[in-house]
Amino acid sequence: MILEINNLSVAYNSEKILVSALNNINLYLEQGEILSVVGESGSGKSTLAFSLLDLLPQDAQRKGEAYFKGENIFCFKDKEMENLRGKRIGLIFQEPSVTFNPVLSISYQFQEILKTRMGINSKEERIEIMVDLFKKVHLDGWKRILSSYPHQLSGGELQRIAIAMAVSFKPDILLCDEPTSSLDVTIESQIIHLFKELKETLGLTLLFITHNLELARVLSDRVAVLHQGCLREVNNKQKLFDYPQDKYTKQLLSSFQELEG
Amino acid sequence: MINSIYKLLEVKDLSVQFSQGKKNVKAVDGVNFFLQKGVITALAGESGCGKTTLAKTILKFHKPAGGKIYLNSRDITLKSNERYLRKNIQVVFQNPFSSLDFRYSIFSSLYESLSVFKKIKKDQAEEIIVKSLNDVELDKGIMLRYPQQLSGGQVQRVCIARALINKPSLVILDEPTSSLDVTTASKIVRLLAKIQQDSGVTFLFISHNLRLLKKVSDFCFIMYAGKVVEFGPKQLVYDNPLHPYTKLLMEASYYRLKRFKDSKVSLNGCSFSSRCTYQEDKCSKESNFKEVEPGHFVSCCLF
Repeated sequence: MILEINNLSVAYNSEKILVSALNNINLYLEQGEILSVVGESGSGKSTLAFSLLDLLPQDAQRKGEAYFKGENIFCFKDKEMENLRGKRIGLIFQEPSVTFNPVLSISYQFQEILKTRMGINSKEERIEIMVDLFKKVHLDGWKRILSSYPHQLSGGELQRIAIAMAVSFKPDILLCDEPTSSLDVTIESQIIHLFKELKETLGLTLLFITHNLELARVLSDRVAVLHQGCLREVNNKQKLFDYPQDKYTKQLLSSFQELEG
Repeated sequence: MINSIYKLLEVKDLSVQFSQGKKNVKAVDGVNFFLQKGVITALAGESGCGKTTLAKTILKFHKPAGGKIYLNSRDITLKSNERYLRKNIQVVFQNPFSSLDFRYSIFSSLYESLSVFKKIKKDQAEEIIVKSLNDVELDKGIMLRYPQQLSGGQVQRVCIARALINKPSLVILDEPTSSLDVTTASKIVRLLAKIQQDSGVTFLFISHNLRLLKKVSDFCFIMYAGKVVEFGPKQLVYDNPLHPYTKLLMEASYYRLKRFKDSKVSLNGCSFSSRCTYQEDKCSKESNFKEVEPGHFVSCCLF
């Protein structure tokens, strides 16, 4: 077990009233598996990812424990958290175009993290690493990409760069917060296969957040259903889709079947 | 079979160009198609293929570089038919929050679109507005609220109500469910299908999701790089996709597509040829539409 979440609750402060976003979540991640968290908008999917990396707003309240390789990461000091965030637990966001700084070139942004966070001081070495990673995420023409600014690249290209950046640290866990929702189907399908491939070659463990049930079915090993901050059902992919136990899961599956079946 | 259909909207050789520096980019390139009255027609294709540009050109948000658009045999590219166009074609956009003015209450938004074509007092309008909100399964209490107080699904319903309030003959739905989650999207799609059956309005449903379009549409167009590459009745297009691009899009919709060649659009001949797995020498020539099955057209050199 690489990550174990016990009794996680998160509440947001909204005009002096506490709004509960997550309620007693118990979840675990095995080494090398893909766990999908599905649920409708506002069910607390993103809050789950953000709470693990301590990225919640300051007035949010977080309770519970999360053990990452035996250490409770909720007790981490700022310094320790900084070392964990991005390095040992990576994060990929929904919108690739806001992941990057619009006024800096891709080369600058990528080299910056390699230099400051991995301590690679030689430029040749950094370029070698970047080219190698671009090959892994199937990006052609590294010269053009490195010299480009974010607005000159397509959404699919940017998301691949974001993935390359995230895996450059060889993280133990990669949190993906709807990484394909803003991409069209042809790109989405390719990115999904890229995740599957990276899982095999790099031994990644993925926590994949999505509202697309079909995606969860194609990609994941296990699926967790979240509804209004409560975990409704966690099960093996096959079992969950064939024999849903929970009432809400059944509703979710039927509304999906009606839409895309 | 095609000849017996009543063509509500007919588009002939429509082209739209954008200037990019010194170059001109053809976003829509010689498109011919028609919409049958009283059915849902699907328009599919990947990002950047010109779906939205085509929709916006029909609505005269862009000026066409060439070609004609006929609505009920009246040329709506003419300035004199502008009012006719606005009354008869309405649109629902992808992002509901950016299509309503956040300083206007829902009532004011709906009242404005109603009063453009009809002189009507506010108290008389209320009855019509309440009815139109009921048609999209919203409570009348919502009238006094502002868009930012509502959920994405509710605002999208308001947009649908606004589009239908003047009883247009054609409504263009530009990815109406892409920014909504599955449960809401499935309710909206169910609502749209119900409205279409009840009122007999014609829908042009634009999406990149072929699985969704399969559920809702009767007729299907596939676009690639500004051109229509295949069209026909839904059954024929889905059961027997002919164009290599349609096949690729189907694969992608079911998450079976792993990789395909880089997305350079070839300038000579068939625009898909550089990505096509069935590419042959004759692909460098321009291809024309051929009727492969009755009612099922494809623009590909292989047929």
